[in-house]
Amino acid sequence: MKKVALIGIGKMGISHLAIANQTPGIEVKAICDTSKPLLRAIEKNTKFIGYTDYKKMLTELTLDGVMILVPNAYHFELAKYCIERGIHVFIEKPFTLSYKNSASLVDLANKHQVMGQVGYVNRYNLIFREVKKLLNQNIIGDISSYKNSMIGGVVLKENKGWRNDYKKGGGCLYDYGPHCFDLATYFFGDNVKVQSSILKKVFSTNVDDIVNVTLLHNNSIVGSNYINWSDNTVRKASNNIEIIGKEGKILANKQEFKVFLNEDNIKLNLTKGWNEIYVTDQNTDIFYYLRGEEFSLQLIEFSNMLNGKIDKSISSLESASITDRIIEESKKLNKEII
Amino acid sequence: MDKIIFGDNQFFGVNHKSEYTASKQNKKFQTANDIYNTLEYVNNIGIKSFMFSTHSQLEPVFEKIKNNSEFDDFKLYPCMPYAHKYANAMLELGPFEMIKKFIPGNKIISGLKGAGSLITANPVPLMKLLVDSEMKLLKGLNVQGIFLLNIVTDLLLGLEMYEMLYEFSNYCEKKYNVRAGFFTMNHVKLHDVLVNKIGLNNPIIVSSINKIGFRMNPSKKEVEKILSKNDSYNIAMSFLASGALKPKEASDYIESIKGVSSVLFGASSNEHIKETKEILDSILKTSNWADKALLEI
Repeated sequence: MKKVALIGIGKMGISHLAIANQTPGIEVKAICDTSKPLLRAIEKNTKFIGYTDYKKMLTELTLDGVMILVPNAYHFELAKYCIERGIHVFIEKPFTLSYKNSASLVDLANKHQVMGQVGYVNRYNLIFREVKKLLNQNIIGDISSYKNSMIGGVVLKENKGWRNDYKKGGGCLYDYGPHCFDLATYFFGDNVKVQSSILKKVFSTNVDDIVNVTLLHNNSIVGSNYINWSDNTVRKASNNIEIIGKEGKILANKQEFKVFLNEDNIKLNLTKGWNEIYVTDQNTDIFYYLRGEEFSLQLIEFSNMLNGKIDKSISSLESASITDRIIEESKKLNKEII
Repeated sequence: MDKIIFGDNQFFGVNHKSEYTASKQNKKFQTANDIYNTLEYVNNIGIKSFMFSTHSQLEPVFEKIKNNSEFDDFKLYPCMPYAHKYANAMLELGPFEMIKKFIPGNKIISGLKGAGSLITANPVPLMKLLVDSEMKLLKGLNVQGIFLLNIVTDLLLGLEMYEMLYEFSNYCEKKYNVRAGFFTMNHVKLHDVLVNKIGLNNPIIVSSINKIGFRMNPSKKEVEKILSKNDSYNIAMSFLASGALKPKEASDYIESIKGVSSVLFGASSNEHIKETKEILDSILKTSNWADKALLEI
């Protein structure tokens, strides 16, 4: 059993704690948070030991892995501290708030032979994983372009809180952007350039609510990325992607995908025309389910990494650093928000 | 407890198989009247139990139900806490108005109950407060059981806070004189905790049970094995696997396995509701369908 600790027990933290506690191959030794009442409640009602000071925790305990679930602005500092001590890390998305910092951590991790994983949970989604498999088999031929969107109803009226402040991690680009761009690099690769970017306000006064970014992968695949967190027509955040190939097309969201093929594919049992595949067609068996198979699968991977079963995460520090670069460049191309 | 229970997913755009279907269904139920009309149909064809998450949109529906004597024998099974409701209310009303809306009775006393919970780091008073506030909205209605939604059941399960599950069950029985039930996506783990670790007698468990093993964790085979022990009251949800299965094959599966006590299903059209009910009725008489009456409290 590999020993792990979690730093930062917010909303994501508590769900990661429950899943990690059930994940085979790892044992949660301690948790760390700056809130004393929270720690007291957790210590009194669960078996976990609590710390308020992560440095003290890392000195007193011998750990194989640490999960960094603190506010985004502290990811860099904590990840650096762990990596320098040779501890493998799981970091909630986004990796850090600057590409420079992310890239330096990639180098540092390589130097210390530390493995890292970033919480881009879409990469473990049963449907997106299946789509990726099909793309690897070149099922729709050479891909020319894609349309990738993420919409949700987060900011539906003027607000003066942290969401309206870039310095506090506000803005749709920083909130939804990471998931959306990461899905693009997952499918189409890390060799990517930001060709254009337009940020637009709807309800916010200081930050963007709608993002339009064109990406170019491998100098050949053109991607329109549309992100909008001021859309109240969906019940929860929704990712939709349309992938256009020479020999067909794929439409996918988290629960289902459709494949249009110009010809039958006997090997994969897909027919000419539209084929519909749902999450109910996938094997959903999981050791413990809290909020979707993908959240459990990503921690299985963290466990596999710590136990030496794999030597790299499919959501590695490298790929996550590219997402940070896309966000940074998308922001830079806008002198002001329209 | 009835063998056939009607659910609410279709009313709120929840479909576990397809986002497109979810959105289509959501469009069908725009107003309280749309929901009420479907429940009226359900009641008329003889489905006498409705299980729902305590969604604010249902409040006007229940007002109408209260005023219609046709619903006198219609049983309600609230599932709580519907977390989105609190998050939305906080945004829309602000913290003070929200507290006023949800906290029943004397504000000072309930304030102390909740505050005490934070000071002593004991979550039990907070749990009681939440149950009370949900039940306040259902006052005067025929509530026959209180269910804990899977996000909370499974979180407590994951954190090994088993005592809270016991406290919840105990509170529902003592204060409201009804049985508690537990939704879960981890049937096997939860069954072990409820039966073996905290010793609940014949606990009510609601979990996915369907022919294709969709969301039967950790596996279809292991869930079937536990079901056949027959030491819990098992309610099958997702027996149609969100539409991946036709009612006939879905029912045939329920009939073929041991240990399913009731079936919870939802559908958006009257035609589908009737079809599913009739097929379920036809297997009711068979021997495998667990013939178990809930123990009186």
